[in-house]
Amino acid sequence: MRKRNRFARLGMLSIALLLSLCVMGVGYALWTDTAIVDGTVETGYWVGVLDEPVAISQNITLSVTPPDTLNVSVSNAKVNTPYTGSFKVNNAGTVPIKIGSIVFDLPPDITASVSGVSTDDQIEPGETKPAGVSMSTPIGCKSYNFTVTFTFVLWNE
Amino acid sequence: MVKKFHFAKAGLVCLAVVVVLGSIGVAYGYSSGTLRAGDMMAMACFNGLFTWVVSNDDGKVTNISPYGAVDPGDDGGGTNHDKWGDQSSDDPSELQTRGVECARYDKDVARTTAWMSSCDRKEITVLVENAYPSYYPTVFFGLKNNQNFSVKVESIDISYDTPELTVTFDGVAVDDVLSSGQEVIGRLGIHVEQCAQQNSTYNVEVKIVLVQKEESGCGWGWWGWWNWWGWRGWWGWNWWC
Repeated sequence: MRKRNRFARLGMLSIALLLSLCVMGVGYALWTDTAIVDGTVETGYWVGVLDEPVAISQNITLSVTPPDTLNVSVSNAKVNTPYTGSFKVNNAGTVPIKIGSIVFDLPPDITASVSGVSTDDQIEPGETKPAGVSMSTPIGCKSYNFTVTFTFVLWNE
Repeated sequence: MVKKFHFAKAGLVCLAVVVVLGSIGVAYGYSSGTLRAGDMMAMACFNGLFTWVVSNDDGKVTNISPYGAVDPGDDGGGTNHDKWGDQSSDDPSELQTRGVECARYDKDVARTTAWMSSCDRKEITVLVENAYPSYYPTVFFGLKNNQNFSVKVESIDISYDTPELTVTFDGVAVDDVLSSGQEVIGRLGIHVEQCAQQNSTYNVEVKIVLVQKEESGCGWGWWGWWNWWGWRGWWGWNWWC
């Protein structure tokens, strides 16, 4: 009886030791962890705006179709007489822009030009650049309408 | 009767030993290693993974020991446009290599800041502001194994389900093993593509899962069967590989 009890006691201790080591091993093997890099990208905005059209010569009117088209009308034009007006080019965005193109939509018989700004000019956010428009025609006593359209691109394009 | 009582008592003691050792084992598995002098963080903060993080467009060159200047060129300047003052530099236009200046535009338009979550150091937040197509900031970070065992990079998930961004992530790769105390330097580059829209928000997430590395090699261990194929149970202390 004594010997049997000793073996039972030894067995119990062994099992206890085994179980504890197993649990310890399982706990040890459970280790895992996660690292996270969380990024948010917020873009700015970039928009060129034509503004403040003003007639300088008589018989010329200027208006803007927002944001980038200038409308010009000249009534009863005289031969080879320059008709001029002014306007402003603004960067209303948060990113620098440049003037990508200036496109005239002209009727026959007139010539027109823009002064003060030109293609590739850079305009910083909040900056305003003064500009002018001028037209003339070799044919008098007629009325003319035309448009000047600007395109704007990011300064680094 | 007296002897039976003693055996029951011994059983209880054994059970208690099992529970205590088991608890120690589990706790050990989750433990974070050593507490460094000067740490005043709460218990949950000990187990940090990230050790540092640096943006190359936050207006300051950051020195990290023992690597030196991580982001040279991040000098806080804005040559022809300076939206952010000394909080940002001329905008990077290419991915930066650690310790080497990268190409930059001549304007400081966008800004990138990066920081670790204050306590547990398991998350880095990166914020890119006033971005635009072709802006290309880089963020560097240290990832350290603070455990007293080796860990393995089990997976890296990079999610940015949008064509408006291209994300570069390197320095840490799947199956990389970090020995105890080892630090690796990760790099995250975010390139804003031409199709990015104005006034928009895009998200990037990189998830790095680390697991304990199973130790390999040889050593002594218990080996044996119990009542298997008629054998009456035997154990041996054997050399294992």
